[in-house]
Amino acid sequence: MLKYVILVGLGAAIGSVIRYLLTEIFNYCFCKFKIPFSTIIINVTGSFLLGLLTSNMVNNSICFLFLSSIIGGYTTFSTYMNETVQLSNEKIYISVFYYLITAVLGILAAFVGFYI
Amino acid sequence: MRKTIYIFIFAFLGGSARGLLSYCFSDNLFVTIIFINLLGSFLLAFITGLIPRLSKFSAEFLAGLSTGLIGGFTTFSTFSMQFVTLFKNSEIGLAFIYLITSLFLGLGFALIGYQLGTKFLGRKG
Repeated sequence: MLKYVILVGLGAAIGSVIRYLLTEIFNYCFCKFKIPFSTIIINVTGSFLLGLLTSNMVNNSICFLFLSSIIGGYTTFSTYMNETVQLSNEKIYISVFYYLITAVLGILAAFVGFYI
Repeated sequence: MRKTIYIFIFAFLGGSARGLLSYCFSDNLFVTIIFINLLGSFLLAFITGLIPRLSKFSAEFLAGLSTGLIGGFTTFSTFSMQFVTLFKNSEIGLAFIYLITSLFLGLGFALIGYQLGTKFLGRKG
């Protein structure tokens, strides 16, 4: 159990740092836009990668566990929801758009990754 | 650089907490992931609502707490992959129940969290 927990924790730590650094870069590139593109890109690419891994690797191997943990920490559900709420305080239609587009593209990406 | 280190350590804790919960409740991983994502959504929005009152903490600590601890605790990729898994197993009804529960309740919990956060803020005046 301890090995499993530490592996998931370590993966999440690496994934979260990648997410933080990419967010900084994307926010710099897309600073003109109201929509948080960084979170969309991160959650969509992460969903794609997890789909790809799940269909191409032995799902109980250590390597799969570690890689999927990195992706698990790289993507974030809480930021997605929090940003939806924060956007609704400004412009409700942008918030609804962000909420829907993330869900649709994220699930689509997981499908594409899994069946590619 | 300090921020990165904070995020790494906090995300390790958040990810470990998710790992521990997934391990203990591996019989029903779908419910476990929903629970983790709802709790995280509530907490992050709550903290965001409270931010003006948390100014005594350093920006590095707050980034660790939000981006690291809670960001690493919740996960979007597992959410979308679990939907695909249910779909693949022809459990289409369950897949959509899973989707709608996560999305609707996630937003609901985030809204409540943010309202509570700002309420705490107002109480001090």
